[in-house]
Amino acid sequence: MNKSPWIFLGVLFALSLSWWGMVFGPAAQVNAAKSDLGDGTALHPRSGLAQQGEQIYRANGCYYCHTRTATGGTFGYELQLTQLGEDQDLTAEIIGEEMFTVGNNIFNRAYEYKALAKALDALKAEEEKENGNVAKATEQKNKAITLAKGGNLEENLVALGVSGVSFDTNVVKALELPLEMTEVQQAKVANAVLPVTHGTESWDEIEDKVRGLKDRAGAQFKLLPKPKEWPDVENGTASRQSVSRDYLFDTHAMPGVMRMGPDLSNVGARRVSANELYAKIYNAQAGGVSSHMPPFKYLFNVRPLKDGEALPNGAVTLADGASVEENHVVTPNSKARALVAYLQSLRNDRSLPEAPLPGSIQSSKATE
Amino acid sequence: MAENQSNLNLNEHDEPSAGDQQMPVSIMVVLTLLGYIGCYKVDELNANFAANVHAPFGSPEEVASLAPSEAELVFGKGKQLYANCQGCHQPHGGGTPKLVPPLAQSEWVLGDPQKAAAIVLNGLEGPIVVKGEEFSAAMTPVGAAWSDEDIAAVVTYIRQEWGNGGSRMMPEDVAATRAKIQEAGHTGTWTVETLNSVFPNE
Amino acid sequence: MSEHADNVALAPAAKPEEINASCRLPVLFLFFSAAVWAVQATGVGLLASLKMHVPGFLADCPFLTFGRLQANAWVAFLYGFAGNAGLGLTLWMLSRLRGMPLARPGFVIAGAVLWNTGVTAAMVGITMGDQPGVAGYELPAYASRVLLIGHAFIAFSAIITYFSRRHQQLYPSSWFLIASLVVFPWIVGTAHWLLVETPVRGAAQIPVAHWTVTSLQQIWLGTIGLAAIMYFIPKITGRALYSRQWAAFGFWMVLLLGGWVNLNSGSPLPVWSIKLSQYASALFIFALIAVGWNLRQTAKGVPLLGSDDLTLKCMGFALGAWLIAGLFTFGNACPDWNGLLQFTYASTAIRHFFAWGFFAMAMFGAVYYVAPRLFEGEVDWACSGTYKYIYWLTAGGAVVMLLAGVGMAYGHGHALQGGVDPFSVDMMKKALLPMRAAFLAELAFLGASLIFLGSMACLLFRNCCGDCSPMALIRKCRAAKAEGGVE
Repeated sequence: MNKSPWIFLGVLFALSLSWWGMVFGPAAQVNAAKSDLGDGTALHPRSGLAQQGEQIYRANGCYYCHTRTATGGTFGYELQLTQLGEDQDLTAEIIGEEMFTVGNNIFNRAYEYKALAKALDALKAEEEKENGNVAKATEQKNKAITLAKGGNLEENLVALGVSGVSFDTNVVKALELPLEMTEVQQAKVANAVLPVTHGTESWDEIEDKVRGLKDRAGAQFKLLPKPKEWPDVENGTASRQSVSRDYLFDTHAMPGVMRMGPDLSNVGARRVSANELYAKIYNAQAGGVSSHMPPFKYLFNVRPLKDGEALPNGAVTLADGASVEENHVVTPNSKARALVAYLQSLRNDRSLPEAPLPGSIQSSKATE
Repeated sequence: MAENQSNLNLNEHDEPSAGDQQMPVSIMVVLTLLGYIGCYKVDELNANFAANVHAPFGSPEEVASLAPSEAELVFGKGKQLYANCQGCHQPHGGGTPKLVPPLAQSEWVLGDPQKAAAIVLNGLEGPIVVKGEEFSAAMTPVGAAWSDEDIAAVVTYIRQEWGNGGSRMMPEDVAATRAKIQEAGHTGTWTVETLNSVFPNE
Repeated sequence: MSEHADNVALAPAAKPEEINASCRLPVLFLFFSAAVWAVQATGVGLLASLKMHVPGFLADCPFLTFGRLQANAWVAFLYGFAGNAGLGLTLWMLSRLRGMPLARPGFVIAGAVLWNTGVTAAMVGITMGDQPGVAGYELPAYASRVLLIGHAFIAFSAIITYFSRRHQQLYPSSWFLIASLVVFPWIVGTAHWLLVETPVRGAAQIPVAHWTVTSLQQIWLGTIGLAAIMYFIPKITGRALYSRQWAAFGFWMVLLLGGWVNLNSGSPLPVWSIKLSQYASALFIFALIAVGWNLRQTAKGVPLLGSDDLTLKCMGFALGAWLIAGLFTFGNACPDWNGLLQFTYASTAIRHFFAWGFFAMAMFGAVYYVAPRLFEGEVDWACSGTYKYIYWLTAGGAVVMLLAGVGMAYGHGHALQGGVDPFSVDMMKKALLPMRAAFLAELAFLGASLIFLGSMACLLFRNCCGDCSPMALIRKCRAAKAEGGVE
């Protein structure tokens, strides 16, 4: 380290590593990000007024005390088998011996049905060809039907659902299943599932099962994420965690540094009216509220209320309808309007493919 | 300049030099090992450098397994488009007695999807018998300007919502429907007769 | 080293007095500017802190919002104080370590004037609302342009000096100083282009901003401060630095990792960048070990903090502060720890602890050593007794900042993690507590800055007027009925 040029080159090289990793890499990745949400809808840029509001937010340094970054928690996963794979042993191996014994009865029965449906298909094919061994096929069929009749109706229905086997009317008749099922029974068949995990397992714990069921056993399943410990969602701050695409249309991204005040990532969705936001910005302590947010009165036009004059429409009021400043009419100026438009544009209550809402993802569908 | 109160020693040592102590090999080995373990850990946790994996998720597979499937997205899109229909057919798909036929459990909806698509494309003038009752109102060609994907989505939606449990309609089927209509030389609103003549029941 | 001895004939080293004389005007100008900005930074910072006690304070003036004051305070500290003092010290140390007089001092003066113009422009711009929206990088486009040109002028002089005598073995501090000169334009240039001039898409600004802020702190301030510590501890104790190899290892670790570390685990970024940052934060312990061990072995048996020599004391404290701040960086490798503190005052407190406990302390110590030597005949501090209060105030402030900022932020962190309504008074109190406690620290820093400015002013004054002990000065002032020139 005594040749001066080497120091220069070395320094440049060392710094370039973190530059590539933290500046170039993420920037290139985000530049490739699309606003398309995959369902034909897209994230939209802010309105012009809200964009102006972003500049007010920035210029006044609001980002020093308010973050715009909601954090996520963790998920546990409930894995439910909806369609059996072809190979009973393989499926049993993947979902685990323990589960296999617990769900033994239904599980075995479901596979019997599956075998039955196959046997019936084979029989049909044989009969059509008229050169196969019809007697053997009939024997197979009868054996299968006897097997299938073993359980009670409820179990049969469940097993039907789990196996996802469809029978034609003749088979249903042969099995003495009701042709006209009640709505309850129909729903039961449609929704029948075999729980493999209970919703406390992390992704790491179920990853092998998911892969095995999908790739090796060819089974179908539902994956129900159960949110665990999402403080920002639980206390009403946000609807989900913030992800990079939430900042796609920011002129200046201001995720914030500390929460001297509440997080604002979802303020637009908190059903806070514009008037409430105006009142908060004008004077957060108005009406005896305890707060340490400084008042931003210079964003408002204030004039004294004339004698006998009623408070005009559009004046900023407290929750009880009184003016936010006693005996004065307070109206927001253009900057305050822009700022509130910006605040109302801040929301993360919309599900993104990479960040589903922890509350709504329960309705996840069967995975193919 | 000798100030009496001076406690500053202005005589200084020579410029410092650096010793030639070597770093112990054992420390180098330990540090290299630790660094390696860290690399291994990062390799395990980096989610393949995917742009769409954010905390709390750990892998692209996990994100993909939660993202809605194509079928769900089509259903959702159809649900959005159904906003154009629910004024008459109602959000619950039950229609209006005597005027607008229901879509829930309707044999027209659950039958040939091409027939349903044709109605969306060209509209239909009553009377029409659905689920044994007669309805008289006329339907405008709401989907005349829609793309194949949109029509497929809305037909898929009405075939699957309200417990209908019908199959999904693909955009190719809509294209086939358009071709059939063009082949038959039909223009304007359907009546039940013209519709059945172009799309005969099997 | 002998291996390059054939490159250039060994030029005779210049005498220290000669070097001091060459640095006189430019370095003193930079030091004095630093002192002025330090007062500005702490004064404005204190105003901002006051708002946490009295929210209505100065609230009707749009130019004095908390956000603008906070941004102004940091700009005044980072570019005003740290930049001026750091650049001045860089020039002096490089000249000394190279054994050559400072080349092209005119460039330095020009650069220093530009630099200070840039800082002033930044502060005016922020007051008018031109900050780019990144806590930690608040330069408007016009200000960063002027700063970069000013820096180029100064760096030009430093690098000419550096190359003027090529064959000599390089002392580790000069690596650090050269690095600081190279990285600054890169960091500020990156932020200038990607955040302000032609901003990248919103989401991509977050990693860029983080890289900028952490690089400015860990690499730019870090290298200058460590260079000073590695220079002055051996210099004053009269020993050799324990090991070049350890120093080299620490150097590359700081440079390699400085830009990666400290990304919050809750940042809205893809998982991979967060995991990489945590890995870098974990590796940062290597830098701590390398630097800490090297200096410990160097100063073995010498009580740094208990030393009679004020410079040594300052350097000892600065080293300790760097190690403690580094431990927090190391702690950020743990997602649970970081997740607890990420949205509290703690990160800001650590930044201030690093800025004052480490960097400013190292600068105060260095200036105490360097400034008197720059004068003809090497005058002493006019009131050397008062200078030690700078040490005590800064040290006390830094300790309060650490304990209050981080310790009390725990409560806030726990509250954010669950249970407490984010809109409640309870949450507000928990959020404010660390910041209010840190007010004491800000007060101490203001005191230190005022004494620093006073001492610098005394020193300059005395050089012109001979006797300038405080009493003599006061007598003179009274007699002349002139306004005191001290402050």
